Amino acid sequence: MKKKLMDEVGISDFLKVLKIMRLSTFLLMVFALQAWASSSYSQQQVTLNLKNVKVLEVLNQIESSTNFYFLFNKDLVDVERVVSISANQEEIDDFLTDLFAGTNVKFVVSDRQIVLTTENDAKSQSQQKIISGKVTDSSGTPLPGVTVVVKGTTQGIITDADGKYTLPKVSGDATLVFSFVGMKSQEIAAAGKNSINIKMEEDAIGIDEVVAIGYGTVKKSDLTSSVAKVTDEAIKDRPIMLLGEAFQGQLSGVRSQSSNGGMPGDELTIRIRGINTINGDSDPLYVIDGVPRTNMNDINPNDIASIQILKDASATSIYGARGGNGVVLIETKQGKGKPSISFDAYYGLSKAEKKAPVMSGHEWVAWNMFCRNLAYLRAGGSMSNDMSSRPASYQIPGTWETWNNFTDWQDAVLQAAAIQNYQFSASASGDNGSIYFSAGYMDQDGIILNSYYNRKNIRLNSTLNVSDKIKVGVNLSGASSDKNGGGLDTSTGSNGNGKEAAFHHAIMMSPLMQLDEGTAEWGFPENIGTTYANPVEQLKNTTDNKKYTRIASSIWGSYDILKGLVFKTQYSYNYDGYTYEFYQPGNVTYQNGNVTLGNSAATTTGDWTIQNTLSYDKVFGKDHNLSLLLGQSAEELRYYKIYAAASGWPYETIETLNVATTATSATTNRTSYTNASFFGRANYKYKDKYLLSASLRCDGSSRFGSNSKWGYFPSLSVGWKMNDESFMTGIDWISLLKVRAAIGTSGNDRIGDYEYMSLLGTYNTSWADQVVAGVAPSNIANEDLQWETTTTFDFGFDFNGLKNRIQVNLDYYYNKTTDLLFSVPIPYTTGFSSYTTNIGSLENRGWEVDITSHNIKGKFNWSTSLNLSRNRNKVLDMGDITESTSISWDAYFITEVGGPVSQFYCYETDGVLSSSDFDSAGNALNPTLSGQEEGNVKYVDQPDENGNKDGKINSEDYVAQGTNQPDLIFGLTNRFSWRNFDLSILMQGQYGGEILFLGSRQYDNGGYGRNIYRRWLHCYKPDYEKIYGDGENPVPTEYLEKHGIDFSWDGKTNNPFGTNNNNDDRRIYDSSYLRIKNITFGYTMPKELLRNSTFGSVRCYVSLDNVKTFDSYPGFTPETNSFGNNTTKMGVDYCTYPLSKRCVFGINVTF
Amino acid sequence: MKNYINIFLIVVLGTILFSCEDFLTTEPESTYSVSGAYQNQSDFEYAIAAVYASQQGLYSPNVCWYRAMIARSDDTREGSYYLYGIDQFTDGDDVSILTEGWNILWTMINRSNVILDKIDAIEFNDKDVKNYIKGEAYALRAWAYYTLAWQFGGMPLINTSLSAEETKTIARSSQTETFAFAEADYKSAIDLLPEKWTGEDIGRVTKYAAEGGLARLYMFQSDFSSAKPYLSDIINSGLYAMEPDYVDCFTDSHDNGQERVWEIQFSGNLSGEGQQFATGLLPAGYTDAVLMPFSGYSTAMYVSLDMAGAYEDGDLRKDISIVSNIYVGGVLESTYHYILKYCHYDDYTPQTQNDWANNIPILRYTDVKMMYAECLNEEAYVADGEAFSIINAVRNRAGLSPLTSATVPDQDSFRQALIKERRVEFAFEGLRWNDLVRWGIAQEVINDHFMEDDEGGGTYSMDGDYREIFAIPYGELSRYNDESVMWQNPEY
Repeated sequence: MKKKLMDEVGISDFLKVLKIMRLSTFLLMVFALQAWASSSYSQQQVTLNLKNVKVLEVLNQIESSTNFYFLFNKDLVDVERVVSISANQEEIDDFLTDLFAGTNVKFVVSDRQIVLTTENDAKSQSQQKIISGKVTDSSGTPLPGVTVVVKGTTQGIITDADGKYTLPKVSGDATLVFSFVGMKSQEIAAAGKNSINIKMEEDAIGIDEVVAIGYGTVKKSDLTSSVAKVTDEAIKDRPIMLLGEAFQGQLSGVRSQSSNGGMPGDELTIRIRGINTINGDSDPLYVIDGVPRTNMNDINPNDIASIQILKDASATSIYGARGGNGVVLIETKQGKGKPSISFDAYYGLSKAEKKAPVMSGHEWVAWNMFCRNLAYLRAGGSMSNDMSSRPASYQIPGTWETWNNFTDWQDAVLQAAAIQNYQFSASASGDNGSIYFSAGYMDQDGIILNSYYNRKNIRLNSTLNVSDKIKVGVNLSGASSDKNGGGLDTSTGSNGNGKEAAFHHAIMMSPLMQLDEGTAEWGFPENIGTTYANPVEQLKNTTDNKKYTRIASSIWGSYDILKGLVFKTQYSYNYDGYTYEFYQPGNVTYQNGNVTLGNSAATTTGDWTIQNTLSYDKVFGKDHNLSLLLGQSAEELRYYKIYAAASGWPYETIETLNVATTATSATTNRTSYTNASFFGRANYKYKDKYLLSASLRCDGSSRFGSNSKWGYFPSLSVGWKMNDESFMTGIDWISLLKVRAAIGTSGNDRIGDYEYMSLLGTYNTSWADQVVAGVAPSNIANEDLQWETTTTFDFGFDFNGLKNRIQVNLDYYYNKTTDLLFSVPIPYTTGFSSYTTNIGSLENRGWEVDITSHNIKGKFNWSTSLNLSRNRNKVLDMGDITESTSISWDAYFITEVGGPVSQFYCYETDGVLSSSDFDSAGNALNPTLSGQEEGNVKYVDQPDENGNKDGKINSEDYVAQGTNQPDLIFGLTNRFSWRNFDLSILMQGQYGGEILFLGSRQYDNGGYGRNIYRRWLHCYKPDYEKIYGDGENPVPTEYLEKHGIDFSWDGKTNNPFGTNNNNDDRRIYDSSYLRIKNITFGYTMPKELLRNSTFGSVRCYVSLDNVKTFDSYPGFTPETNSFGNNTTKMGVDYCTYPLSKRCVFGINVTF
Repeated sequence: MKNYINIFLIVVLGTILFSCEDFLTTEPESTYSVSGAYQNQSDFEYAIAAVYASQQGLYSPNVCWYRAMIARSDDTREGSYYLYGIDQFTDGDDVSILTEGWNILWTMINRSNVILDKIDAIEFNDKDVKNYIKGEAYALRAWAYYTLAWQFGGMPLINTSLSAEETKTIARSSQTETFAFAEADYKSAIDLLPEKWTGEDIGRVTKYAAEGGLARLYMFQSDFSSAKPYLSDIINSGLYAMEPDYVDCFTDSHDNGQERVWEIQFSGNLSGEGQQFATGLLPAGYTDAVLMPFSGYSTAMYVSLDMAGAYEDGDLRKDISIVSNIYVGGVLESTYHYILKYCHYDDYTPQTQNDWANNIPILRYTDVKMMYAECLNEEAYVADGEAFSIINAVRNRAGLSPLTSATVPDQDSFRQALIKERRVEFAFEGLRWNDLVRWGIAQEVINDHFMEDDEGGGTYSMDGDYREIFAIPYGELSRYNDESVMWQNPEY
């Protein structure tokens, strides 16, 4: 019953909002357009009838009944005087003349603005003149709304829509002060000038920069917690396809890496200050235009105004149970300045950064001849026997010797891929509000055949000033994206990497197979080594398509109840629709009876959020600054999925399931999730030097067990601006020196929707050849299940010096996460393998450095930004157990107390076994695996806890061998500009950390048949004639000489025959790398050239991505995670989609 | 202006006053929660089906517990992939397929316990159905305990659902006690189960399946006199007969036919209830449109040369059970022989590698007869008696000449004849290892086997009779972390 009620509320609310949105969108557009339409206010007339009121009241009445507003100094103009006055459609001049008759008050009406001055002021303006001029921003765009004041007086004006102003009656010795939010204020002496044109400079790195902190903003210099910000330049000056790219190398403490190599359209994985969970989810919370979301997929990077990362719990605790992994605040653009339109476009090409170094055709033949010979010798044969007398699998076909027609299968499936992007936006702001709208189209082909990503975005952000006190606004955006995987792993049914991916097959395919072989229709050639279904045909004919439709809408209103007291309410509705289609014709299937298979899934996710906040800012006396925030939010998310699969298609011209012969599966699934929260925050500043901030959030969630529905998340932070202390006065080169400390808690509620209940699983069986439904409990209930709690301590140091030319931020933090969501292993004799509970703890500690410096300023500009961060992750407690291992394929992982989350777990190796490791009878003198021989990998027999070695090599000798979490991550951006040229170079990378090259188990393991890494040509080869007798040498010497192939030992590659174990440290590599991530070179057309054109500005650029990577990793990229979000199996590369180098040409034009 | 204020206030107050607790309680919409289950007859039908479902997991996919049962014997050649040393007797306490088998068997026990705990309190529309389901729960629990006991030794005896804490206090019993527990369960099952199932229920455990299971339990303990009446009860039921063609002991068209007393049920049509086990016995890259319409897996097991040589000349069973000289990746494979027994389909052609409709037998009627013959012989050797006619019926079907008292003159030579006949008749059916252990000849036979050139020529050995049972999975010991309750088997 109650649930139903909820539905109704949700839907009717939503419908209402839709209606409101339609109406308000229309109104906003009308008003926003009106805002810059010129109108003549002075013709407006005044009608009033007031008795015994103060002059102030009269002025207020005029302000509220007309568009006029007054500027005056209360100390000079007597507004407390009581008057009685009536007017009926009187001109404003006449009315004011009456009002101030007999006083020393003078007035000037200028447009809507009325400036009141006193006789004394006016007298001093003996040599008065009129000053006019135009104010523009640094790019020459007119700036409306700039305040121009005569210094020391109340006389002033605001620039109009064209950035123009006119100040009458300015005394000759006056100084004009120009100020505008986000710009540096400027003071110009009026002496000798009748016209003053000003170019305002942005105060981008100024200490007055405003930073979003969740439900509000604070001046950066007043910040007491750790917040990182992605600068505009990182987004706007280079072509980025996915928003996550803007994070790479730009932020300390934030690791942004692809989980899938270079797969087009795969949003990057963002990790903030390490890993805070073992079995849970480590993704941060995204707050987009104030609305909490679980991801930032398909957002148009061109729409982004700012990205800020809340890193410590004093900042994130305002997001309570969802802030534990950090919070990413994303603000989209709002209309600004005079009406303008801008158009951006780029076009580029990308190609694979590298290929897998597998054997060439001739090398493959040589290797396989050798291996077949050797296998035959090992089976007791002799090289002197006739080839035809060998068993077939040892025979070397006569055709191999002279085979020259090889296929490079990697080349066959890789392509040079085009990228194109077109963006259009319009923006304006005025007295009535602002408007921004945009449309964009991005199309990126993947470097593997038939993989692509394209995206269409539209957005409308608008605000309307209903009155001085009431503002409303709407943000609407729609995105539709289309992504084709290409190279699907049919065994797992998802994405482009993995064991049976077409690209994986292309690497391993025998180079003897031809492009027109390897489908059911063409047939499979025989006796040419290992073959797979033709990867080119498989890629061309397989549909592996994901389509997203995303709509984000939110409407908000704010009301200034009293001065400083603002109420804000926001209602948002987000809809994500997803469809997946898979279709693979039987002709190109791999080892599957050539059955045509297809499946399709669709999901919809809808969630609504209501948020209400009340904020209060007040300055008490001179020294006490107080701001308070109180708020409440509620949210409900509903998820629906439908899935169907079928097999067998009569004709393969139609891909949809309706025409399939056999329907094999159909399911639907629904889940929902709700949360409700109350929160508050107080910021207090004393004498602009001592800062204090405290917050508390109370979160309830449907995911928490019935015994622990509500959690409380407090925080406290303090700051001290030392530079304002008296003992620092006179030290001019320091503009900010601040120390800060923070402590707080936040949580991670991503623990699964119904995890605390005991649920029934379906375990079907079969009777009488029919499927029978089976149902049994799938887990054990835990009514105490709750969020994971992260407590953070953060100590920070902020320094700005040399006139803000250098900025340094340092942070040291210690995070402790307790109540880890944990699947505690329990004996299987209970019928279950684990029990989900909150147990144990882990810590992350580290430091972060951000340095921005303007090395050279002037005609030639050079600035450098450097960020460095170090994080160490350690598991402190796992309840009753001390370690937990997991396994995928033949790779083992371990998470143990005292070590970081997820380490690789395998044998340690010590080179290869040499003849000295065996006695004359061939028996091993040292511990070996059974069947090991000379040249095989030598494994280390690890001592037990008492230091004793058991003399055997077995799974007890596995040791933890590194982790995917790097020791240090860094980014370095250098920006240069000279005249109209600009250049930026971004380098990023990491130091330390390891990666497991799991793909090696198939193509870097010394096997034969399949194509493998070239290095195996140089594997260890014992003296075969010594073992098998004179003349019994399996090496095809003649063929090697003919084709110039070298078989000599490289000193490290082991003998692949005999016994080796895959799970050893040979396939674990250092994942340190340094990458020249991006170089962008741009040219902005000189203003003078454009003066008489319709263009406001024009910039062209060329941008290169992934220019060069320095690493020691033999796979495609050390930046990958084939097991995705699985925290306990991090850092695995199992056929990653290769990274691509890109070269893009682009142009930005504004009108 | 006043209106705006009012609207704001309504929104604020309305939302705050909203009842949070109700709002924060969401019931699962697509998953059943346990609180509403086990209420009526159909709930228990679903519950018992889930026990069968877990049992299926022992026999499919390609790498599963059943594979370990086959590989442990001398039927297979050492050195196939994914056997983890089971075939070479180098297995330790971390063999994944054994751990998985352990887990599944305990899941069967737990699911049966939940049913037996709750069923008596519930009214059924049909009282017989209640008895049947109880009987099935007893039978499946008995089978699970028997299987655990002969493979891992004595088990903790848990006959009701317990919390993890309670479970951790129940120590292992002896193997004998565990067999006695399973024996009692089988007896309860036999009293409750129907003689046969009809219609949509065909394939569920019957009274005779339970009797066969119990007989096998007695046979394992060499308690022939206890086994014999149950075996004769099955024979006298008149419901079973040997298939005239050996291949029909395995074809899908004869699933649940006269030969099949108890088998694991599978169905095709890509229903998710097909088996993958058959595919996994043949090698990757093997293509033969007739024998199997798709490639096998890298999990293929090789037939040992002495197994291939164990068939007498002209034994029709050989070509049904073993395939040789096949093309693998286009190359004629003459070195290895592969298991073909499970790949005979004549009714439903599997569409994909995991779509075999063929059931996998637990107990064939031929086995019932052979066990009966063994009981007769152990009772007393009777020249050309009933035991002879049973073994000769089996040989006759295989196209072999009958045995007579002339060539099999005494009790022990009849034993040897039975041992020989069982090996070929039940090759690769997971019975050989069980037989070797119960006959007490495991170490001798396995070590002879390992001396052969193609089996390592002495590289491997069964280094003690402690290997008649497997090691308790390491993971389980660490989960208990209390060796006074769950201890490792000696010498592991």
